[in-house]
Amino acid sequence: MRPQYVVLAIPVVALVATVWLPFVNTATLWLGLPSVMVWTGAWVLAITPALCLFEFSRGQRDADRAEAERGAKR
Amino acid sequence: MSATLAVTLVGIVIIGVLGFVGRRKATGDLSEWTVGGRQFGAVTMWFLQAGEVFTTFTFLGMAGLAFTGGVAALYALPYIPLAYVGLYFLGPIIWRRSHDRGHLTMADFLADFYDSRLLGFVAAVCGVVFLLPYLQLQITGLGLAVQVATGDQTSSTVSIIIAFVIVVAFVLWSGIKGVATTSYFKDALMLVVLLVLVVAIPAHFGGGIGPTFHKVLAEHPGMLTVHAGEFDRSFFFSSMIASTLGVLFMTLPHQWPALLSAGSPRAVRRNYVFLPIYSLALALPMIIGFTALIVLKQGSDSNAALLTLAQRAFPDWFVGLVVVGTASAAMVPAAGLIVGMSSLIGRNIAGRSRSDRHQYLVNQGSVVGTTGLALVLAITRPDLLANLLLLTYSGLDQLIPGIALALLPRRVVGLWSVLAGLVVGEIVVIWLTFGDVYSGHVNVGLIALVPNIVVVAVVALLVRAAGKQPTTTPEDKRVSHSAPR
Repeated sequence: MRPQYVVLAIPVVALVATVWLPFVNTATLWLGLPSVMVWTGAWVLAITPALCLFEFSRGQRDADRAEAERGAKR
Repeated sequence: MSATLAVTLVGIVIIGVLGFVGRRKATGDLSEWTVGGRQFGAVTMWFLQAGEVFTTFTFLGMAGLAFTGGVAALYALPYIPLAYVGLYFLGPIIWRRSHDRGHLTMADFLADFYDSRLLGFVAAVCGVVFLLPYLQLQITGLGLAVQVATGDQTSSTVSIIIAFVIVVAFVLWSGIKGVATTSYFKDALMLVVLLVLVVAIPAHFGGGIGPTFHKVLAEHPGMLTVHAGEFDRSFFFSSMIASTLGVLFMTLPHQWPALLSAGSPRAVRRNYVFLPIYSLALALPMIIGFTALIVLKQGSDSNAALLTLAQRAFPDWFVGLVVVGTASAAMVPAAGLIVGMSSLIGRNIAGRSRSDRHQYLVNQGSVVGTTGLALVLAITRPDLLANLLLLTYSGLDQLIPGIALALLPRRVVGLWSVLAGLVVGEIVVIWLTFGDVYSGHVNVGLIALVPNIVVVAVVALLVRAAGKQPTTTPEDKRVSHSAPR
């Protein structure tokens, strides 16, 4: 499995598991906010950089492919 | 006329003007009207789809749900970003096939893949029937905002009639382009209003966000956990999963024009990369809902919690701005809903075997008809916001097996499997919702998906046992830019 998939799976699993994690689903505050709110907010934010990994590596792959095609034509 | 009502009406007119600016020249082409020539870039797409995320449900309903259910309301925060993770991969597949084959609606996509106008018709009917409460929800939300802010029922009714006559007018003229131009204004206004509210309201009533949550922890510790009761773990988990699946598999008809209006698969992908950041804004009204816990009495109108606190903390003109924010959260998503519903009626229900011109005219008529019906329902049967949305998702979730299987390159089950599963799923949803037979907290849409999928599989096996195999795939057909015939 490509490492990008593993990185993307982490926030997905963390968000789906939110309500089943006893240290998250508890009456406590993290940074002055409910722990459930901080947990879900942080992992939602993590999705964008995780998807960026795919998008940037795709850009590099697409560029490599275009370069290879140009080389083949020469 | 109060300052609040004056600011509200001016704001509603500004939204309408921006909607008309979206299109310079009149069009009689349904494709241009519905998906804007398929040429939107990532930024326009971002505002268009972000605009759909933030409705009156999220603005008023999320604060209300936090007030009544505490952190259980947070199920609504992750489900859209989770769906975007999947749509980053599925969105370009849908876009490419729809672009190549000229699809404008979800029903076009299904009818083409399964080679069945009947399935397209049934999916379109489901789309319109289950989306109508969602449209009504936007109207009810706007009416509630004006009523709470002005204390006057007549002002509320007049405001929603004016607002939705304006929405119908600019949607008829501009189509999806009007939704896009109003989305810029709406998202900017919503964010500014929410940021002011989320700083000022906790500061005014609780001494700041941190001290407010410390008071909630001291007075209502149960609200900081997902605990037993109406909003328990089953509610949180199943609502999140059901809503995620619904968005992921594009079961909401108004998702389709927004996606298909993209200029390229790259615009689609980039959009889904950055949209999760915007979804965090959903937490802002929830913070205000928590503040209401230490200010309002238990049993107060939960959907009015945000506006009640705003009214107590701000001068009339700013309350008017908050109502304009609510109005934009109602009018802009409503415009997108109307585009999604009317294109289904014009393309797949009433005008499915007629000319493109006839489809366009039916489409324009249904813009007026569906909005008029929703307006009448909103005035005569205003219901609780959140429950309506969950009913919408439950019904539309039954389209998941059909759409998911249509994303495969080859057809592995045929028309009758998907149709039978859909019918059984819808019957179970209606039975569980209105039959007074289920009192659990698991999302009924998710429950109904089980018999739906089982029926799809059983009918597929029976069809295979009878020696009939689904053979045609989309790749076998030539590109067509007309509706599936």
